[in-house]
Amino acid sequence: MGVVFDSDMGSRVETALALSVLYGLDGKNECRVVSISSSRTSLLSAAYCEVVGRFYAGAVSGAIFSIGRTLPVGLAADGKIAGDTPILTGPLSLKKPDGSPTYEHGIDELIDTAEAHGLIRNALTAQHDQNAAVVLAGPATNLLKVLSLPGSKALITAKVKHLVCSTPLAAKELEAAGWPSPIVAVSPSVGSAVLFPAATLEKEFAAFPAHPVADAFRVQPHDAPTGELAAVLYAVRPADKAFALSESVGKIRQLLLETADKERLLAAYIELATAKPVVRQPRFRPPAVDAKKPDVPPAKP
Amino acid sequence: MITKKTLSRRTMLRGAGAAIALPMFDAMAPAMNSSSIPGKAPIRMAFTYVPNGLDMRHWTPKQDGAFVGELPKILKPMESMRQDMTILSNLTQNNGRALLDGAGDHGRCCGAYLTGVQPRKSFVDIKAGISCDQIVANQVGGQNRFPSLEVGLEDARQAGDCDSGYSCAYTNNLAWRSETQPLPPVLDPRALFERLFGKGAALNPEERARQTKYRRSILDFVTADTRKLQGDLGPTDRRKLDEYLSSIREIERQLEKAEKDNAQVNPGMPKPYGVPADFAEHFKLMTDMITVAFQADMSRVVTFLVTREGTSRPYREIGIPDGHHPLTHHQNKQELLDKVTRINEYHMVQFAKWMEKLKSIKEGDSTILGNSMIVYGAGLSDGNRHTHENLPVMIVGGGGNTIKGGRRITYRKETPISNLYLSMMDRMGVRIEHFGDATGRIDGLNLA
Repeated sequence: MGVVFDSDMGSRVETALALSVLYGLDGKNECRVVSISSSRTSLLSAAYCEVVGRFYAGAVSGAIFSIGRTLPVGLAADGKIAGDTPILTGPLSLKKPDGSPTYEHGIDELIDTAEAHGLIRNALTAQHDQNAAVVLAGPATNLLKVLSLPGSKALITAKVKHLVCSTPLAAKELEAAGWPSPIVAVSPSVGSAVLFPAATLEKEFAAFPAHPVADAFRVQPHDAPTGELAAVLYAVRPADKAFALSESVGKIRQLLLETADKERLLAAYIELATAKPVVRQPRFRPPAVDAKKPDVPPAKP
Repeated sequence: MITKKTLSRRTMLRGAGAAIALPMFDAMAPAMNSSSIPGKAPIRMAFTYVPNGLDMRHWTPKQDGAFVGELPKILKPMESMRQDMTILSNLTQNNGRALLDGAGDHGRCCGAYLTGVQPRKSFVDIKAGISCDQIVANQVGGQNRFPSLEVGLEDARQAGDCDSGYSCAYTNNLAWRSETQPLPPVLDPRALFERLFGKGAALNPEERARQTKYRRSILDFVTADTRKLQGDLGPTDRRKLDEYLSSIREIERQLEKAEKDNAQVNPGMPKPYGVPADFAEHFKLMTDMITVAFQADMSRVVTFLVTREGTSRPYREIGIPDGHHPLTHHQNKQELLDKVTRINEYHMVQFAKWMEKLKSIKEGDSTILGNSMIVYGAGLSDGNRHTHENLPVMIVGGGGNTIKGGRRITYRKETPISNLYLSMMDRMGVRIEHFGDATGRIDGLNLA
């Protein structure tokens, strides 16, 4: 499954943790991160996204472009310029002993980023039907702009299995704008029911000489809510028994938690968020099955 | 300039088997309505496409903004026109990418180049989209003898599988009249000449034989009209007419030479009657005729497929016997890379000569080039890796005093090249809201 991840990266450490969970799932071959974008109009927000992407995808390949992750970071550029937060400036200002930045990135000006809505649309064009998920961890700004592109509703209908929003407000906005796929909104109670422990900084994260998510977490260590992590995990593992869905109201169903599974859920978050980067194999292409599209493999289940 | 009488923009020199449109004379200015604005010269749009990507190391100027210092190697032939050209970086053709359709980047990139849609992977049941040049031709081309001209230099079939399941219709055409109807380029200079200056259809073999036998110029057939017109023109327009007719005569001489050479030398492959054996001569002949077509407002929309996408044409003219396409899969071997660069430079030398010619022809207070938008580019950037982002794109000409040249503009990553086409269509007076995968119009081209 291809996952589009759009957020306002830099507003909360929870978003960085959610992105690390997503890359953890990517490393297990359960999904593929196909686009990363930010609605926070801040170059540092995009730079941090790229740093995390390079940490997972580039640490072993030397370049983010070399293993199928060919798309740059998308950034909303027409909003009010957002301030730089310690979550962003903290990791991005770290230096190695030789004075060079601990985390390299290639984003110095706006032209180093992509228009978020075009990027998301392009990423979806490359997914099999019903084999993409969209995770929204922040305002709906970028996804609303995707809807404004001609043909986007048909594209989303064909490609997107579900949109998972970390807040009911964003889900409602997108529903009102005509988002055509099923929409799941994480209930506010889910995030506070399971907290991601700051103690992981001294345990699981401590194994890494440098980890951009851990370094963001270190800025203000606290047991962090996990609503955005739940959005990512549900998007990729919708059958996980830790989750339940409410009856739909309009198009939206609320994501709820099965309380008996809290500990297992927390263990899964920690395992995924602190997983080591993994070399991804090239995409598998089986032999031709269709005379008209001889190279198209069947959609993954 | 006051002349004896006002001439219609549609005035032609006519004679047996010939009809020659005329350039814009001062005497036509009061009557001109060629851009819906009296007295204003028409804007032209052309796309010049080279295949197999370019050696991007020698294409991109080092910094954004005004060109500073030497131009990169491939662009050097354009030195005398550095203020007339703009390099646009980071433009992308997403629909040239695999998008689940597997191999076939050459077929896809060319089929998507001007259509902005993902071509259907098939060599039987072809489907792309209406190309932007044809959208313009449909809306404004009715004012001209030819709504659009499609020109190429390489003989190429239109059917069969040319790239991993993609029809040759995708690799061998740029212009698409409809989703399923590509417009094959004219390759034979004689055929183009007869189309431009004949009375409709190409000459039949008997007529051609008669003309050849007597070695008569097409100008001989319009002598009476020419004399009459000269009497109606002021001195400036008379000089302009002489230069214009001389350029047609020069084209005829080149054609005759090519045909004579072809009769003596077996090119080793089937070739249309008038195609010169020499690539540069062929390039010059075809672009000379496009120039005349622009000059006489016979057409304002041109697509020029220099060679077909994925071509393995060798360039023995410059000492390169290797096929172009295999060379572009150079695996970063310096010797092969150097040959790719030389082919890229060779193409640019020919293109630069054409641009110089367009710049040399005055039109009102500007030039033909000043009133044109000529895009030069490819559907792939790196031919070795088949990349579809950061395509090599250059726009030459002032677009009727609307485009500021002499610089490089870098857009945000993934900016659709279709955004450029929307901006060009605006300048052609064709305002549409959506085209292909465009997300809007590009900014920064304007004079301000």
